[in-house]
This record gives sequence, structure tokens and C-alpha cells, in this order.
Amino acid sequence: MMKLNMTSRQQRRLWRHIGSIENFWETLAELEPGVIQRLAAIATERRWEVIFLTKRPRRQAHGAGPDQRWLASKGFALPSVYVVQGSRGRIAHALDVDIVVDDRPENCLDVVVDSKARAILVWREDESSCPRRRSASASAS
Amino acid sequence: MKTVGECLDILTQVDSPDAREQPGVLDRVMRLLGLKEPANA
Repeated sequence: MMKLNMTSRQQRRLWRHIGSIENFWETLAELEPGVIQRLAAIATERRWEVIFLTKRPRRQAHGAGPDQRWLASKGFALPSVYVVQGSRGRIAHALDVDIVVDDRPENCLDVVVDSKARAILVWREDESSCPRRRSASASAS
Repeated sequence: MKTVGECLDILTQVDSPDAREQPGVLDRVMRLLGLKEPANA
């Protein structure tokens, strides 16, 4: 995965451009092909209630529709999607969520601080670049 | 976890009937996750 160091202005321009592309969200591929369908199958079998939390700039006022269509196109029928503006932890607390899976450490921290839910971080980069590892090595030096 | 797939592997283990009937299995999985007690405790 490539990371871009963009200024706030560049990010705003990028979001504006994305907003101008019709059905942009539906064109995106899964990072892990087939995992949405697998989650849907497990959720049905185990009767898990799954809520997808997503965040995007406030000005991108599409609601949850694009995310729901994308998830449905990948095999998760009738997904519950909540567009979050603040802390995911507060949402997890309000919805009495047991476990939150997220790929951003700051979101996991929100969950741990603001709710009783457990947070699981999906870290696709090298383990040495994980913030916890960095701070651990920094404090050791 | 490296992937959502790995995450699902763990969660299905935690939620399996075997794990629920064998606290030792659940404890091991929770330790693997860095958790000390079940999420709904």
C-alpha cells in the first residue's frame, strides 16, 4: 500500500475530485479478495450482528449508500453501515459493541478509551512500523 | 493481525461451541489477542 503525504488543501482537492466521479466507491476492489463474502457467511452462520463504521469528510454527504452498495456488491447483503464523524469508541459504547476491528491505531485507541468493546488492529504494514512497537523501542532507547 | 482474514479466523475460534465449552481454549485465544477476559464479560 502506498502512503501519500498530502497537505490539507491537497486532500480537499482529492476529495472534491472523488466526489465528481460517478459511482467511485463501487469501483474499488477489496484489499483482501473474498473477505467480505466470508464475513457475511460467518455472520449468518454464527448470527453475528455486524455494523460497518466508516468515516469520510463531512462535505461528502452521500450517507451510507455508497458503502452499502459496495458491500452488497462484494457479497454482504443488506449491510448496516454507520458513517462516523467522531470517536468510534463512543459509537461502540452507544451500540454496545463487543469487538471493533480497525486498520488505524488511533481508532482502536478511541475504542479502548471510550467503550467496553475490545479493539483488534489489522496492521498490514511491517510490524516494526506499528506505533506500539515504535513507542516501545523509543522508550527502551 | 495482519489481515481481516486472520482476524476472522481468531473470532470464529473464540465463538466456536468447542471454545465456549473449553475455557482453556478461549483463554489461549484471548491471550493471543492480548485480551485477559472474554469481550462480553
